[in-house]
Amino acid sequence: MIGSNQGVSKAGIGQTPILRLEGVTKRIGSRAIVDHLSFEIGGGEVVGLLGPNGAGKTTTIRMIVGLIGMNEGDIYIAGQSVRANHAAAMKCVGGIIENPEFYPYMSGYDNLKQYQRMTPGVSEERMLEVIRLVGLTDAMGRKVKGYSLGMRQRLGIAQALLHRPKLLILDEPTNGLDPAGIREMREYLKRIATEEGISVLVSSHLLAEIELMCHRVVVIQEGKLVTVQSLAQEAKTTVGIHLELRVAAEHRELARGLLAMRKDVQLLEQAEGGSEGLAFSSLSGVQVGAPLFLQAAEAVIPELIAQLAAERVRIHRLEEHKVSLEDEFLKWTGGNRIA
Amino acid sequence: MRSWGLLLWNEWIKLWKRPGFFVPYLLLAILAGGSAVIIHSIKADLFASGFDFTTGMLAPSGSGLLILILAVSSSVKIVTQEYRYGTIKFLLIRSHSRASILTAKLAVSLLYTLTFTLFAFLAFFLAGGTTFGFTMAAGDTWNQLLLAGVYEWIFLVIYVLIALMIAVLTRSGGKAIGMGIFIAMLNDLSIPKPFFKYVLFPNTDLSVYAAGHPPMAGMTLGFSATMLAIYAGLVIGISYLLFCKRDVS
Repeated sequence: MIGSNQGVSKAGIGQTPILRLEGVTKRIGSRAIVDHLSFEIGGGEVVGLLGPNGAGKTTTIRMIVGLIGMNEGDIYIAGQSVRANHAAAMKCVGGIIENPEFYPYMSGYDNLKQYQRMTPGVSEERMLEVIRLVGLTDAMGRKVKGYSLGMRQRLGIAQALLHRPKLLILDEPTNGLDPAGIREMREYLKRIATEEGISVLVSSHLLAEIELMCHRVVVIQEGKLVTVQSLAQEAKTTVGIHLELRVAAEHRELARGLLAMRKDVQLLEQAEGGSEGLAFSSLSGVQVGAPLFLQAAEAVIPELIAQLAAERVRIHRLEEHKVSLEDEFLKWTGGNRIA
Repeated sequence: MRSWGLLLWNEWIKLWKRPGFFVPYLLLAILAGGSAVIIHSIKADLFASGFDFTTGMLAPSGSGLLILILAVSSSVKIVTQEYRYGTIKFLLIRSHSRASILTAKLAVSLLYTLTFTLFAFLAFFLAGGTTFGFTMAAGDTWNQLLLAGVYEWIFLVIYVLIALMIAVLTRSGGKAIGMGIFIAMLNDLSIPKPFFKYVLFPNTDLSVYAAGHPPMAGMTLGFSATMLAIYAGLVIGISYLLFCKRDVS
C-alpha cells in the first residue's frame, strides 16, 4: 500500500543515514545521466530504487560503489566519502552489481576465499557462517561453472555479506531468476535485513517485488529525483481501508446517498477514470453501475454491508481497492515507459 | 603490507587454479628438448657445450621470442580475465585502492614471467647439457650463463608490461596478445639513423653487449638499461592512469 510521502528525501527508520547522496551528478559529454541526485537511507531500511529504462539507476548504483566517477556532489557511506576515501567507504558496503560473476574454473569455496583474503578481519568461521546463511554448504566444493543462476545469486550474496557491511547494494537481484528463485531471494533479503540488521538498496524493474521487499522507494527519472515514498503497512489501519463498491445500476444513486449520510464513511472522488471505472452490463443483461470509492475503518464495514442489504441495494462487488505500486509508478513517471 | 601480500597471493591462486596452467611450461620443455636434439643431430659443433647452448638459445635472437609469446599470452589474462568474467566489479568494490590492486597484478605478472625464465633456463640447460655436454668449454663461465637468464627476463618483462598496458586499455585478451606480440615482432626492426637508438627496440636485448657488439654506434649497456627503465616507467604510468581513472561499466 502506498502511504503518505515521508518528507522529501530524509532517512526513515534509523536516524543517522547509512547512505547519503548529495547532489550527485554524472555527465557524459554535455548530457547529464544523473542530475543533482540526493537521497538518504537509514539504518536497517530496505529501499527500492525505481525508474524507467535509462533513468540512471545503474549509473547511480555504480557511482555509490565507486565503479563510476562523479562530476559533482559526493556520496557518503556511514559518513565516509566515496570520492575522498573510497577504501574506507567500501568497508561498509557489500554488493552485487548486475549479475553475480565468479571465476568459473574455481570452486565456490575458492571464489569466496578470494574475497575473504581481501578484507582483513574476516575469519574462516565467518565465511562458513555466511555459507550456511545462504544455504550453499553442500555446493562449496563444486566449480562455479556448474552452478545454476540461483546458486550464483546466493554465492553473490555470500560475498557481499562476508565483511559484515552496513549497507547491501543489489542491482536487479532477481534478474533472470525463476519464480521460485525470486521468492527465495526475497526471503533471503528479509532474513538478512532482520538477522544482520543492515540497510539494503535494491534496484529492480519488478515493481511487485519492490512492493513486497521495501520500506521505501526512491523514484528517479532522467537522472533526477521524482519522489520518495514510503510503502508503510500501518497507513491502512489508521486511515481506513479503501473500498470499491459496485451495485446494480439502478441502485447506484440510492447507495451513494446512504453512504454520504454516514459520518464514519468517506466517499472518494476517483480522479482518473480508466475503463475499469465504467458501468457495464454482463452477458446475461444485468446492469452493473460504475464503482463507488469509499474509505472506512475496519469495524464499520460489516455495519455498512448490513445497512445496504437492509435497504435492498443489490451489491455486486465490494473489494478492497489496492493502489498497486505499478499504478503509482506510472503516475509518477508519466506513463508510457515501464521501468 | 600484509593485506597487499594477500592480494598478491589471490592473483597467484587465480593463475595457479586456471586449467592449462602447466601448458606453457610443457611447451617450453618440448621447445628445449626438441631444439637440442634437432640442432645436435644437424650440426653438432654449432654449440661448444651445454653452457653455450643455453646462453645462445635464451637470447632474444635464439628462441627468446618464442618464450616471449608464451609469457605474453599467459600473463595478459591476469588483467583481461577480470573483464571477461565480469569479476572486475567484485574486485574493485573492496576496501582496496585500484592502485594497490593493479600493483598486485603487475607484481604477479613479473613473478609469473620469472617462473618462465627460470623454467626455460633449467630446461635449456638440462637439454643442452644432455646433448652438448655439461663440461664447460673455453670462455664459458657461470656468471655469463646467469646473466643470459637475467637478460632474457628483462626482455620478457618489458614486452609483458607493454602487453598488460594494452590489456588495461582494451580489456580484451585477444587484442592485448595480438598487439603485444606484434610489437615484440618489431624487435628485430632496425633503422640506421641516430634517433633510432632512443627507440625501444634496439635496447631490449642486453645480451648483445656481453658478446661485445652493440646494435648501434654509441650505445652501451648503461644507455640501454636507462632507456629500458624509462620505457618501463612510461608503460607502467599509463597503465595506472588508465586503470585508476576509468569508469567500469
